[in-house]
Amino acid sequence: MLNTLTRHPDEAAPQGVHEPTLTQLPAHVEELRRTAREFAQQRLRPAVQRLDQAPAADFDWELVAEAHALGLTRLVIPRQLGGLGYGELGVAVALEELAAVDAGFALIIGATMLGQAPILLSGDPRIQSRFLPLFAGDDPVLACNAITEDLAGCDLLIPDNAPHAVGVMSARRDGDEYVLSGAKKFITNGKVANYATTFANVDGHGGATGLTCFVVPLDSPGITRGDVADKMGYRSCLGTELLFDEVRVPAENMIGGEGGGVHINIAQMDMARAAVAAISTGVARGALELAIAWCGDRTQGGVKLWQHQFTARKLAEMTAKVDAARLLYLKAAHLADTEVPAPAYEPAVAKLFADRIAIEVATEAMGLMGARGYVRDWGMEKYVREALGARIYEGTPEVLALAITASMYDEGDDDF
Amino acid sequence: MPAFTTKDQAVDVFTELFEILLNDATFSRIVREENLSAHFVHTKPDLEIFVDSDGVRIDDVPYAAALKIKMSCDTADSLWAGRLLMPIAVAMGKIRIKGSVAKVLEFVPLLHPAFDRYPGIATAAGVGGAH
Amino acid sequence: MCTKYDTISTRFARDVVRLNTGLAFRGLPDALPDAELLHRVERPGGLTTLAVRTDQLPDRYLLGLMGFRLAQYLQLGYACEQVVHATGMFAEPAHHLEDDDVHVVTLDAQGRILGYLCLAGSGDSRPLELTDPARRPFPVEVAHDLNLFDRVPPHEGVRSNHVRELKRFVHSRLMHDKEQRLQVTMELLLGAGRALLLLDPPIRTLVGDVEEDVALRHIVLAGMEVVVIEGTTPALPYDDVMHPLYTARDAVKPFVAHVPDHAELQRRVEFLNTALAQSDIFATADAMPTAMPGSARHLAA
Repeated sequence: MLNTLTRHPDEAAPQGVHEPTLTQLPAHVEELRRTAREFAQQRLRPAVQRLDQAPAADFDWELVAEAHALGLTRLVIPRQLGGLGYGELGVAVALEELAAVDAGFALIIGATMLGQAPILLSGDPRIQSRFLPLFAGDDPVLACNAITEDLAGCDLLIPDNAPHAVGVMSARRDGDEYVLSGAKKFITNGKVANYATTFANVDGHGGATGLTCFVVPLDSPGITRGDVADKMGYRSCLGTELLFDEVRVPAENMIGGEGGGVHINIAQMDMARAAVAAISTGVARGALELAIAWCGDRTQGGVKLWQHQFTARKLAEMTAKVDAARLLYLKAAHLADTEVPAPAYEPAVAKLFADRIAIEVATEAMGLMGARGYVRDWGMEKYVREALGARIYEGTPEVLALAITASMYDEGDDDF
Repeated sequence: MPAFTTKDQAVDVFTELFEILLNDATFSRIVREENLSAHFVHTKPDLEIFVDSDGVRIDDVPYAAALKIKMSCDTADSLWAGRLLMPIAVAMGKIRIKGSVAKVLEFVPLLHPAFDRYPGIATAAGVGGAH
Repeated sequence: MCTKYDTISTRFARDVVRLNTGLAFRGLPDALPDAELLHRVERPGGLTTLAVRTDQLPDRYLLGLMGFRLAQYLQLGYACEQVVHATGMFAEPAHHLEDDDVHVVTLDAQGRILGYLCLAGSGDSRPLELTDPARRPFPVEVAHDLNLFDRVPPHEGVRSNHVRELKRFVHSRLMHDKEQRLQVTMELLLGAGRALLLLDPPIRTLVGDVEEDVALRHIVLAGMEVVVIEGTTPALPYDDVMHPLYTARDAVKPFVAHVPDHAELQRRVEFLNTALAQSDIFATADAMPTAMPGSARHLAA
């Protein structure tokens, strides 16, 4: 039986700043890594092929319930709200473990945290109290973050693009409520989440210049959960359209005030990117581990594959890339745990690098396995498909490049 | 026009504000139990405020606080008065914090009693002239 | 603090009730150290009753119990919606609890809480005489502004650590079935009885306050000899979330109840346990006044 993540009352709380060293994680993060690894290897791995080959709309609530029972859906929620009080470092380490087995499952958990992030960032106990303790019960609960639209993806992420955004979901003030109308697309967990942190443009503001964040319970009248996208990878998590038809949301569900959405969105992205980089790192690691096993087992020309110089070079390059990606996301996550606002540069660099090397490592690993890398039974081709996915969500390479270069030219307040 | 015309005015207002917080049963209990401390670095006018379970100190930093928070006095005025929301101030870099973010997430909701009291304190002290 | 028409507070309170009503805690029994539990019984059909100390409860389950308490009291009108909203409260504050407070809770098969009561300890760091002015007053004594034991002399040798306050004896408002409601009441009484048997030092006196026609019946039903004190004017400060307890209810009277001796308590607990294992819960309730005779005596102002 897997151990639920709890802390003994006598243990130091994970809230303190625990400086990771280059070789050692804080003890509570190590405990979390072990728990996530055991769950991924013992419970998730046997289900991976089934989850990958099932119809697009299939969803394994039983596995989600097991992850919930372990505490994986409440990692970042403060203890006074029933959570575990882990920071980004813990989240990222856990997501690498899950993604090394199944990136889609890691994203179920990651998307839930993305839906928790604006509520955490609000600093408002009145909104935190209404939504975050949901995750402390024994029934599994998921959340989602609804921003992407059919005609607006990056236009909602890049502040300079906001005036040019078209067809953005609208929010009209009506007394002490807002009325939301429009549609969101490719929303991870949209089909299964309890609520969505939803970004809509307040009437009277052009494009997305009035972008505003609302917490919307997904059982609200007027919401339709649309079809599930039939994706190439990440098939264990569901990407869904969410249709809002005159959905009434109390004004107290707004986070960051009217027009604050772009800032909320940037802050949550900066918080979350290290974790997404960890997912890509996990995908690369999963592919590498399969390749290592294969090259250690397979004999060609009288010696093991890894003893061929060309293969050895490839494996060495691949492992160096995975290690480098991990160090980058650990650094970014540590900074996100110790600075507010989270820095833009390090998480963007970590994700840009991890997304790229995931594709490189998975492709190389597939090549090393030859035909077996290309057929479904061996699991390698799934890593290749999933390596391609991370470049699309939570910042494309182009969006990341803009964030990185903006930081390079930013003359910020360095004396603090 | 800056909200605070003199450092003394800022010292009086923020001292009173944090003393009110320390008199709040929930705030003071958690500050004590969690060993929380906060070091506010305010600019324009420049002053440093150190808050822990022992009380409020001005320009006296006895040890490295769990949280170090930097903002201008104008930002502080807008924030406490409710004209500037915390997540926006943070996202725009108007407030910068160093320390455990998990502690920040615990700490910020505890500040709520101060939001209710600040307008009265600021008005009484003539902050901004127009509150 | 309370006004009738405050929609934002009312909406917030409604959300807090919905939040807590939707939470299930089916993992609670397995999360507890079985050997150290004061009481644990599982009935066919899935009803489970536990008696557990505060310090045995994992944080999130403790929050769940405190959330249930708040949600029930909000629905009863005994918790102030404005205070709940102003402070962003979703659960009764847990810092008032003592490590050795006993929580008796009944869950259904899905883990939803159906009933709850608390046996709160004195909080004194060392046992004191009940008439000692240095003794920490029980919450009921604070609300009614009196030392109960100035009015009802304690039994010989009874000190503060032999007394518990009975608090928050509540049922889920999800329960509409009379039979289930009665069963939950009796399961809670059984759990409390078992806890009283096992607590060390033994509990010899219970205190609390009750409405004459409501909770007092349950305490008498449990076979207690209850002394009800008349003539107090209880109140809590307006910033106390529970201040409507003394404005929204009819006359609420403090009581002192002496717990039967160990052998008699054991006999009663066994009676309840046997009776609950049988099918006719109404017959059991009818038999209780004979098997477990209790009484209420009123002490004039």
